Amino acid sequence: MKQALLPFLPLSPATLHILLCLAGQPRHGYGIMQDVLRQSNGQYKLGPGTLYDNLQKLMDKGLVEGAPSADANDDPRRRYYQLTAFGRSVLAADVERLKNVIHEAKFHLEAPAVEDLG
Amino acid sequence: MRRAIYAAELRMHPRAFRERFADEMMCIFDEAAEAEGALKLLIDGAISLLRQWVMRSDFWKPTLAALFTMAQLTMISFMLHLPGPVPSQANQVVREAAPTIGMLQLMLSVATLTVIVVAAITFWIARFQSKRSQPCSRRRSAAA
Repeated sequence: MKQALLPFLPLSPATLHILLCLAGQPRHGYGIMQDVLRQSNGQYKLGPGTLYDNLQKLMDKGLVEGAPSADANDDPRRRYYQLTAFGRSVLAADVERLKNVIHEAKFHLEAPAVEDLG
Repeated sequence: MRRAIYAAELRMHPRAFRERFADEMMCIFDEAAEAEGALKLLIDGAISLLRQWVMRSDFWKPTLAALFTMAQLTMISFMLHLPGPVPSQANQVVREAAPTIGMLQLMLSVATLTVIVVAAITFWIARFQSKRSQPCSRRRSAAA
C-alpha cells in the first residue's frame, strides 16, 4: 500500500459509502443519498448536512471533483460529483484493508472457541 | 413555512459552505421534503449548522477565548466590589482604597476592549486566509 494513502485510512462509514456511490458514475447530491440508502439496505441514511460536510472535505482533499451535468433538463441548482484518480486509489486501498479485516474475522469466528475444545 | 425555515438555516451557515452547497441543499429539500419528511430535513439542517460553526469553522475559538476572558475579568471586578459584613475592617479598607479600585476598573475595561479587538482581528485574519486558500478543484479549474 502506498504511503501517501495511509493518512486517509481507514475511511469513515459515510466517506466509504459516498466514494462507493461515485465509483460507478458521477452523481448529484440527492442521487448519492438514495444510493447510500440502497447500498446499506436501508440501514444507513445520509442527510444533506452530513453529505455536503463530507463532500466538502473530500473535495478539499482532492478525492472528489465536480463533473459536468448528465442531463440538460436538470435543475440548474443540481451539481454532479465524480471520483478523481486519487480518490479511486484511496477507495481501493480501503477496500483492500476491509478484505483483510473480513479474512481475519472469518478465521477467528470459524475456528472453534477455546472452551469448545476443552 | 418549513421551506422558509430551512432556507434561513442555510443562510446562517458559514459563508464558504453556504456559497458552495446551499443551493444544492435547497434543491434536495424541494425534491425530498415529502418523501424524507420536512421535519427530518429541518433537524438535519440545524445539526449541520452547529457542525459547520463549531467543528469546521475557526470562528468559535477567538469568540470563546474572548468570552472566557470577559467572564474572568467580570468576576475579578465583582470580587473587588463585594461588600464585606457591616462595618468590618475589610470594608473600611475597600472604602479607603476607592481611588485604586477606580484605576483597576479602568485597567479592566481597557483589557476587555483589547481582548475584543484582538478577537475581531483574529477572526478577520482567519476569514482572509480561508478566502485565499480555495479548494483544490477550484484552483485546478482556474488553472485550466
